[in-house]
Amino acid sequence: METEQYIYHKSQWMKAPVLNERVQLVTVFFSLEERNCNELKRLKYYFPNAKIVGCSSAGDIAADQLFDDAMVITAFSFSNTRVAIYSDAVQETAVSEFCESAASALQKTDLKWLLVISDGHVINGSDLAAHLNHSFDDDVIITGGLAGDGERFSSTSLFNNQFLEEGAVILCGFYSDTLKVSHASVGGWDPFGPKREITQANGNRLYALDGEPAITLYKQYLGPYANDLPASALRFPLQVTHPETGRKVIRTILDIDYEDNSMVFAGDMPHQGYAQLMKANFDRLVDGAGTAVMKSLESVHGESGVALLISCVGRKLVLGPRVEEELEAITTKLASGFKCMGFYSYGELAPDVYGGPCLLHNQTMTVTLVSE
Amino acid sequence: MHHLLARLLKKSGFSGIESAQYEHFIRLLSDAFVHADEDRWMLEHSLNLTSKELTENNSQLRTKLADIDKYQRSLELSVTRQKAILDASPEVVVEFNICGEITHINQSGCTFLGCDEHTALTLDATQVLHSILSLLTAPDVFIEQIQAMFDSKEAQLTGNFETIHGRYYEYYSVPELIHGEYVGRVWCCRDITDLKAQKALLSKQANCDSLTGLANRFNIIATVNRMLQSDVVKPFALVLIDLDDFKKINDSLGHLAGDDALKICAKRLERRVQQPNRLARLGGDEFLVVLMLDSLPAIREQLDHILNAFIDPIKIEGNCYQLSLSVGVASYPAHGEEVSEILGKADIAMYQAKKQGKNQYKLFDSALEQRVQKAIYIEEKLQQAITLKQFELYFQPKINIGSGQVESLEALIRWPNNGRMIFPDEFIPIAEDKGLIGKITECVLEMACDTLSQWHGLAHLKDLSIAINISGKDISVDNFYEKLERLLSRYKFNPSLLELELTESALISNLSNVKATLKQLKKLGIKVAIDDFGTGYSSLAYLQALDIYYLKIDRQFVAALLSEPKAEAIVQSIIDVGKNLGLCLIAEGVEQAEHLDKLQRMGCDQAQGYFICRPLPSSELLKFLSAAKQAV
Repeated sequence: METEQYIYHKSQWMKAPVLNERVQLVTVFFSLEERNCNELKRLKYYFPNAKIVGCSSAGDIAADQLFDDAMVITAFSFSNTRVAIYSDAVQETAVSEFCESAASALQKTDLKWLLVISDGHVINGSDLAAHLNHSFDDDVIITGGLAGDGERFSSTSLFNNQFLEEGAVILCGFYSDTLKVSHASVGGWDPFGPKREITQANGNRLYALDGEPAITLYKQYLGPYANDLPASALRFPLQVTHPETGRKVIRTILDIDYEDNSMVFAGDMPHQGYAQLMKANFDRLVDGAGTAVMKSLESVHGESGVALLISCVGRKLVLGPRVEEELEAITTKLASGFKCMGFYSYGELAPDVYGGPCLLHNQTMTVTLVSE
Repeated sequence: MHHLLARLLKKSGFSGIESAQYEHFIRLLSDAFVHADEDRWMLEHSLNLTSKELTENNSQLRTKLADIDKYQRSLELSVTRQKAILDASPEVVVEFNICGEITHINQSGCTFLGCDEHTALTLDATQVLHSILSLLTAPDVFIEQIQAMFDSKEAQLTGNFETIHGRYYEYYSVPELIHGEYVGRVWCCRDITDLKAQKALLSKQANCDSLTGLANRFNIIATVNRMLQSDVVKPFALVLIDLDDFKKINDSLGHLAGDDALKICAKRLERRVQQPNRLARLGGDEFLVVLMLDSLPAIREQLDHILNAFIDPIKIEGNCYQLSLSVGVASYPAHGEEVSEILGKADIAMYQAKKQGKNQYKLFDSALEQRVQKAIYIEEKLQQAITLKQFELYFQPKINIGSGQVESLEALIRWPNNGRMIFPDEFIPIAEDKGLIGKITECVLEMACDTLSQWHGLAHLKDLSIAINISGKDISVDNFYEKLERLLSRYKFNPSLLELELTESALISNLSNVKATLKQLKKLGIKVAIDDFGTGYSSLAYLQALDIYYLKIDRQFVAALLSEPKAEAIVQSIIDVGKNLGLCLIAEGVEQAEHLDKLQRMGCDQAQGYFICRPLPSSELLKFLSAAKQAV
């Protein structure tokens, strides 16, 4: 597997791509202030035989650097791996049909890895993960993330050779007998304060905790930063415990609906589950990223490959100027032959344990290591 | 620029260096300072809030903990009380869990199983079942009874069992359900041994006569009814037995001796009445025999057999008493289809037997029924006559034999009914029998007083006294004197004009009472006569003890006065005794002039009879009196 990385930052290429007909796959993550950028549309000219997939982000990752108002592209030339793409717009209620259709198109015996790039604004990530697990075989590794929109939480975009309409999902199937894929997803957040019962919720909308409006609670904790809602709420994600399974997941806020006084989270808020506020600690977050890559390195990989890093926009917001420390924590642990690419997202998709079902995460650093 | 950074730069001499080459770096440094401050503030703020929240929660939890402690104490108290209550209960109470193991057992339960609570709680389901079944006389039956519990856990059970120790238990078993989920079962078993024995005793008491142990009225009537309701009813006879003069034993020896006599009678009858015939005591001195016989000769033979049981006297408290029976018999189907009808006819026959001299049996016949019906008719009419005061008084004069003057009148009751005058012989025995005599006496007294009152203002009548016949039952009544006194208080005539005539039999029933009453009457001036003297007990002791004014010589001696020397001797003796005791003597039944002459010679004071005057209604009496006055 050969990879080349190109960065378009502040309206110019740091290293301009050149025509390469051997490239099979190009990933493109962009935090462009002007998404309708010509350079994005011109990628096809540089890589005429490649499938070009990607999404808008809240920051683009290349090696140990974070870029805003940029575009990071990675060109893949595989020696023993085939790639197939399936994408479509998904209606809210039609996630299962989408997954079934995708599975009929993509599920093959040698399907090793399914990279998921999903709309980050209107798609319910929990639903999508659940239906993907159901539709694809258990031995298919499913990782990916939800597109971002800076800290605006307004609209996200998906790109599959061209821009797709809002609410779309791109599935990228990797078929190989020799492809090695490992993953890990670690947060590094610390729960604090009392556990509160989710007394009113509907899907991914949270209304009340312990009978009190959730927004009121957040405003109390944010103090003067409440003016920056919903982005400032990323400082306090929730650790949600499912009432039946007892499984704990981190949920981060996506939006606030002042009309019905609800907070929209990037995943379901189970009624009668328990939610506990979580707080950030720079070192713990950075350590979390390091732990994620170490866990993913527990599987044997070759000397070269790529590390797909999908981190949460909440981490970026909290870490602020120190955000690249979590990228350094990863790159320093990887062999020099591994290229790091990825983006800051509105949600991360990966199993929480190796071989487990894919889950939606928030506020994590999700690492997928790929080598041939 | 962040103030700390600015101060640090200033302190380290950097303040002067503001070249463009450091500007970007210093801005980044300042941002990092600001970011760290923001983060610290956020952390402190959130920790303060959390601390506050947790303090509040802690306070709430402490309150809740205190409440829980309170509830727990209350619960413990409640559980302790419940356990004490259950332990105090004589009922066996056992709770089983879903596996059939005992989870709670009270003291009675431990006693029942014969082990302590700890042992009971360590038994497994099989051991528990085995322990229980080993205590039962019929474990198989019990298992069958509780089969429903194995078929459905929600079954409620109830039933009985007997233990090998001879105790009977009633059990009740209900499932314990929490929100419809079966979590166990509670059994309650009540020892009903005593209750069962009590029920059996009550049943026996309800059906048996406690004194004699014979079947009682309820039992025998039910038996006969059952016979009558069977598909094929065999002919039978009801034999109603009444002991003759049993009251005398009760009165003379007391009720305990009377009870002994009844027991002896019951034994004798029991020996004579064999299955399939039945014997019962109806109450008092009445017994009933159901003879499963059809033919009259066979019935008669059996009745003789029963009567013969009393040939020998019975011995009570060392004294021998000759008892006899009056027996009435009626049979099915000849005399009725229902037990009440047949028994009613046997009763009529029995009264007939009693009336005809006792110590005999009478078979019911329709003529007998007619007589009884007549008595019933008379009784009904008598009731009416008493209410409507339909009686009349006839008066028979008593004259002074010496002067021929009318000195007194005997008032005699007559009952005009449907155009016919009914005489006392016909209705007084019925009135006495039915307890109406008292009311009739009251009527007579009232009529006599009315008459005396009317005559009070008439010169030729105001000194005439009227004699009333008083029965033994009248004078025996405790308040006779008070009632008479109350009656007299309504009138103005002199009470000494009222005379009372008593038969000897009236005196003996309650001598001490009669003695006191006569004393009171004497004080009031009322004169008392002994009627029909010589025919009854003719006890001289009465004459000595009682305040009597007149002695009336019975008509049978007067009638024989001219023909039988013995009668003359008796009359003379009575006159002599009476004279010696200072009594006034009156001869009854004077029907000839010779009687009057003889009596005058013998020293008799007064006479009455058809020769002098027959009883007259008041209108004719006035004529007679006026004529007599002229004749004198």
